[in-house]
Amino acid sequence: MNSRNYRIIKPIFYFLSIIWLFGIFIEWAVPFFENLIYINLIADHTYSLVCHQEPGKLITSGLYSSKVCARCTGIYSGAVLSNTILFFIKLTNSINIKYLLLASLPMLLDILFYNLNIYSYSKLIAFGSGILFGSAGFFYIASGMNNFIYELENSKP
Amino acid sequence: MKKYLSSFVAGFGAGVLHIVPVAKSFTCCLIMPLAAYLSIVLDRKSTGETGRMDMKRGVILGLLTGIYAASFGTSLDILITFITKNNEIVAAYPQLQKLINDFPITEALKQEVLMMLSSLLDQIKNSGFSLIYTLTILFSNFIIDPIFGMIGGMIGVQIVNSKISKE
Repeated sequence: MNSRNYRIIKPIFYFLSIIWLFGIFIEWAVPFFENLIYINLIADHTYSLVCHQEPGKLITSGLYSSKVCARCTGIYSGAVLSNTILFFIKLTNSINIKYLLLASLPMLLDILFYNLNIYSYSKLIAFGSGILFGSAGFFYIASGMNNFIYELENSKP
Repeated sequence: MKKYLSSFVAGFGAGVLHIVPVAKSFTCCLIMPLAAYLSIVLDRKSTGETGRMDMKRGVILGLLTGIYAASFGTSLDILITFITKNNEIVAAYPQLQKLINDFPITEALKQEVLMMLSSLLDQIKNSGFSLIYTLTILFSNFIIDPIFGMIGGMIGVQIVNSKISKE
């Protein structure tokens, strides 16, 4: 079941996840909104907390590059995708954790194969495996949040 | 305090990983969630709890792990910057300068940003401390780490509870 307050929080959470995803591509927006250059500098440090930001692994286009690597971009894109889907489907109370492990398998294999030099780093594979993991992972986050709010609602005196 | 010792330990580990130069290259979005999960596992080991876990407990442990990681990460960053009078901004300045010069923005804004950056750089090189830099890392660390910690807590509880269901 979806708790009452979760339905209120969901759009706020959706908005925040869109801003987070937008922040990854902030450099592309700077020419249109020049003052974003200041946010761009802060974003560099903020996203460094969640990604190694190796230059060769960032998504680039001409002068501009993403704030996180292709894999992390995939993870966050997947999370936003699932977040969008959750507006149309009902969230189940608990999801078997094996689906998360299955969804993380391509990503883990890609990391393993790349580090073993079986093949060279591919942004497309990293992005694709990231999107799979991110989209699956978000269902668990949403389910967890729903359960958390439900517990809070029912623990009120 | 003892009740949340597991968060302290996991938070310290994650905080250090944010700072140490070599370890930093392994940083990814999974560090904080993994630290939160570790905190849950350690907590259950120390309390001897074997039953299903409340989501609330997991979220609190994740949140505290994030707060501890942010505290340690920020303190260590400020301390290392103060001692070495060097940090990632100083190292990345030449590329940053080039990037700003290449950006299609007005000359006036470019000069303003570069002046701000060079004053920040001077402060770090001379005294090892910059208020703008400190506020930036405080703001980033104390928002991002607790959020990712709570996410890790939510997923961690589901992993723990799924193991119990199997048994």
